[in-house]
Amino acid sequence: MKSKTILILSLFISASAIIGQTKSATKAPANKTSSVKKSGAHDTVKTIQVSPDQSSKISFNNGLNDFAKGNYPYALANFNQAINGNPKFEPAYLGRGNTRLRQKDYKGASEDYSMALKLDSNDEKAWYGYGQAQTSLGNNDHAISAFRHVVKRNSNNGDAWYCLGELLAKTGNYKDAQADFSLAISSKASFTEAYNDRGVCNYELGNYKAAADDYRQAITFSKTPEAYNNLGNAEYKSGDNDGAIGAFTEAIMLKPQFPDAYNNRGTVYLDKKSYPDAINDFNKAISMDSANAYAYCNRALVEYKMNDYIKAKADCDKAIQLNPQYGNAYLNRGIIEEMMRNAKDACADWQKAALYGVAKANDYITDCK
Amino acid sequence: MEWLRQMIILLIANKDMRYKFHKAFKVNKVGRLLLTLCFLCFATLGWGQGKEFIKKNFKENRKGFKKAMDSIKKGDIYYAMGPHYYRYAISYYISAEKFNPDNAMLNYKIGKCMIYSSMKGQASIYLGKAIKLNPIVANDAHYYMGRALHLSQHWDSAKGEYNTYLQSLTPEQTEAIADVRRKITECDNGKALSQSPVRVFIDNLGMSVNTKYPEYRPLISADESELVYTSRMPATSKAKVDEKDGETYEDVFVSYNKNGVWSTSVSLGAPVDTKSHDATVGLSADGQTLYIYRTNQGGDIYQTHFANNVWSQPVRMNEKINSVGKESAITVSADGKVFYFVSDRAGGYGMGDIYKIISDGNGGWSEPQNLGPTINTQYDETGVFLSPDGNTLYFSSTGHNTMGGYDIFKTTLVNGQWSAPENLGFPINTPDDDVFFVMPSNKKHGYYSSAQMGGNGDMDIFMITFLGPEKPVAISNSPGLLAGTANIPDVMMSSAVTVATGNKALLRGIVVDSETHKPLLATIELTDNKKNKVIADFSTDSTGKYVVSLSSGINYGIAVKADNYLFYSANIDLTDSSHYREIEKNIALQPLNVGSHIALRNIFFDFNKSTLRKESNPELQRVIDLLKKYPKMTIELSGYTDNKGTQAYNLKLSAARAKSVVTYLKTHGIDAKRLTSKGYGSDNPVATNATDDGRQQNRRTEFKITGK
Repeated sequence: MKSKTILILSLFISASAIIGQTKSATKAPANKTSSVKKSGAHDTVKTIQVSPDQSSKISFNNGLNDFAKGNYPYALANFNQAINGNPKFEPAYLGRGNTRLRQKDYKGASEDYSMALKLDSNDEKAWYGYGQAQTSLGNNDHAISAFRHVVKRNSNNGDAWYCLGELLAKTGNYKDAQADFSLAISSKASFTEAYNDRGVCNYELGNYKAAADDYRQAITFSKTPEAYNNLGNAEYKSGDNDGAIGAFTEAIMLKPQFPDAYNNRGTVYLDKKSYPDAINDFNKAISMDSANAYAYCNRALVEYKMNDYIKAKADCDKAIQLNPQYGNAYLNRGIIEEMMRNAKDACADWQKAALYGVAKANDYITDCK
Repeated sequence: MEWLRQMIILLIANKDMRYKFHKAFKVNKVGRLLLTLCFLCFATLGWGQGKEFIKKNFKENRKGFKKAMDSIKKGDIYYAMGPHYYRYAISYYISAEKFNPDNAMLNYKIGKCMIYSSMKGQASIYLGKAIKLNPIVANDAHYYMGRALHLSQHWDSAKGEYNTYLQSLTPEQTEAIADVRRKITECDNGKALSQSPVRVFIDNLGMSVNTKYPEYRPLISADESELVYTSRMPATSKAKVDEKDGETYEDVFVSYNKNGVWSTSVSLGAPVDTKSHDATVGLSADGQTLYIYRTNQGGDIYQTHFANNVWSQPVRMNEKINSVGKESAITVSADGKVFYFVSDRAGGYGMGDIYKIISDGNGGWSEPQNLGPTINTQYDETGVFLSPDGNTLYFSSTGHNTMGGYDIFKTTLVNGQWSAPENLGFPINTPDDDVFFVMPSNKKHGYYSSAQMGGNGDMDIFMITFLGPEKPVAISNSPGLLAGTANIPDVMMSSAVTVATGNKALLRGIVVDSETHKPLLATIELTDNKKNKVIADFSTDSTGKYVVSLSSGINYGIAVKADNYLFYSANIDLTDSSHYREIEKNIALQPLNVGSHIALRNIFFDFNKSTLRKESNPELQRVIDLLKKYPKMTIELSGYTDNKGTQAYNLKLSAARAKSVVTYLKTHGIDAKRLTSKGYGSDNPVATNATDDGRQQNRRTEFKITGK
């Protein structure tokens, strides 16, 4: 041992996770091994020792690289190595959480984000990921709380405001959702999705004209069939039947296989007493989506208006078969049953409609007494 | 001639044209009459009555002709007795019509009679045919055609016929003009009302109540369990017929509702029913007092009480209610004090009017009070009924905006005043008589008598089921579509971190068997070629993998060795490398088989010469060690160049270089017999010659086992 410098060669053996994958060998995460076989006396070359921290960072960076390429199993292995090398390496938990999120392992992702937040409770990115994971797990309250942490740390995070709005809208809190979408728009002026969804909130809050304005704004940024469909609904509710038909038609032109747009346009025709047009649209909606309970229920209304009670009842039956908790279908079938002189069945249907939340069914039930 | 006849018909039928004709030719009144007679004679010459019932027209069937003529004569007897008897004429006329369908007058009579029967729906067929066969079959043909269409609810067509008829009337025919104008208005009313039908079901009460005879004036008990009404059905086999209309005298009948089914009605019998007319006109709220109509003294109202399971002897009501005129209907409030009744007594607005009278409960009565012109018209009002809550008065009228005959109206009490009557609407009211409306306390139903089509004969009793205002349906719009988070980033990723590794390279890879691809446990020897020294040697792991960190600034020779395999030689020159990088080197070791060959990447020559440089020594030593380990092994050493220079030069250079290696080996104790050499020039390139790297790969010395 004449060496002035002890030669240490770091030999790294790939992780077991990669065994059996020939290609993956090239992606082996760094890991210090004990199987180094030192040479005899060699005194001219100075080799480098890779510390565990460096090893973790190398693995982390490799993980990022793999994540960016969509190689999630490799990314996961690298982040694992990074965490093994340094269990307090917060970004690695975030990286692994993000990877697991992409792999739809929402529970695992949540655990990683939680760990990341334990190590750094101010990590906006980890809060964001946690919010996404909780959203996917259906834990809306946790998700809302997480996104609130994000915007608390960065009020310009329009995506987080948007996610908050989405969650609130889905839980029926349209008022707060509307405000959040507005903040999302404030941080990103051309936020098409936020305009569209604020429109949905305005629509649900009965602000049909404001909703129409939002949908129109969304359309200026991106002409999506969904936005046109929503615009049609808002214009219909605003009493602009012709405008609504125009918007639904645009939606259909952009997306010819759009049963919702056909159904919605049919309802306007129904309202206008253009029964053949209405029937035609409902037929198309049904031909595109044979499980479209709305279209069956609406077609029943056209048939009812045309005094074809037998067909009308059959369509209501079908709508209820498709969705046994479809309150409107029960309400309408009750009306049809009444006209078919089946008072008992009518009353039974109205009872069901009331059960499934159709308030006006209670008025009809009074006729049963 | 035809054109002349058409002109004449037009003149006869059209009042305006007739007037212009008379004016143009200055025809006086007598002249007009004579002209009309002449025109009529002339105009009918062509048609007669279509196919006349005269012998010469039916020479081939005299028997049939005789029978048809007999039928016509019998029909004519009833026809002559007036509208009440028309229905009896129909069957005779139809019999004759089957024999000769093309007689205008016969068709006219059939149609006209049908209007007054339950066959009114077919009347327009015969009248239309009659007019077609002979447009002037009768002066009033268009009037009756109008009636037939009116009753069939063909409002516009009916108006057309009425107007045609109107044109044929002279200004002196004021009554007829007023009547037909009224009919035209009724058509307008009917058209308007039928365009907004009310939501009701109307059901005929069925055969247990309605018969082929007229049934009318229903009265319903508050609980809807008992229906008392008037029928012309013979109550007994001895029932007498009223010669005025050919029907049995009116009697009171009752039917009971059992689980929604009305029992077969029975006559109340004596003392309510007598041999004369006894008709229902009202029922007290408790159902214990029945008011009936009898024809005594011009038509009066009587009352009878139900006690001990029998109806008492009817008693004529007081003089304030019963006048010398006709009192035909009565209704009483729930408390039994306020009465509304119908009377055609003097001082009214015309025909039957509705009056109000109040009882003090002790035999005292107020003076009857006409309800005034808001309710009463110059036409007939009858069938008054006060709703159970006392706020709505229902009555029938041939005035107001009737759509024909009697319609039912209602008026509500607002601030002590009865509101303007409101037509109950279509289809409750029809162009025919709809009259005597009553309702039970639940107000869900109404009962009334109607001559509408679809009955069992003449007037029938119908039940109305009120459906109330149309129930709004629920239209289902597909809900608003949230844009969703598809275009929103799902994650926020950290940036890459800086790794303080200095200037180095990471070499990693896997060593496998070139044939089986199984991982091999191999030794990896790392040499600093410049210093001609082995830096380190180490092993792969059990999976054949290895990773090693290399410092920059060194030209590395890497030899990978395993027992029974040809060693593998690689060169990694990091002499000029100054940044971190990772190098992947997967190595497939070849078993020691004849034909196996490798490139000796760590053998170096001087530029354009075959002189071995000393950096080649470690690699050459590995070859020597191999040949010593396997003494029977023979090998060929091959030299290759890139494609720069001529092939001849390259062949020469490559051969010389191969030979240099052989010479080195020989001088280090390897038997020359085991060694051959060959130069291939630029043949068999292993990489492209278009790049520096490719050409570097192609410049090589190879080692091939030729025997072992």
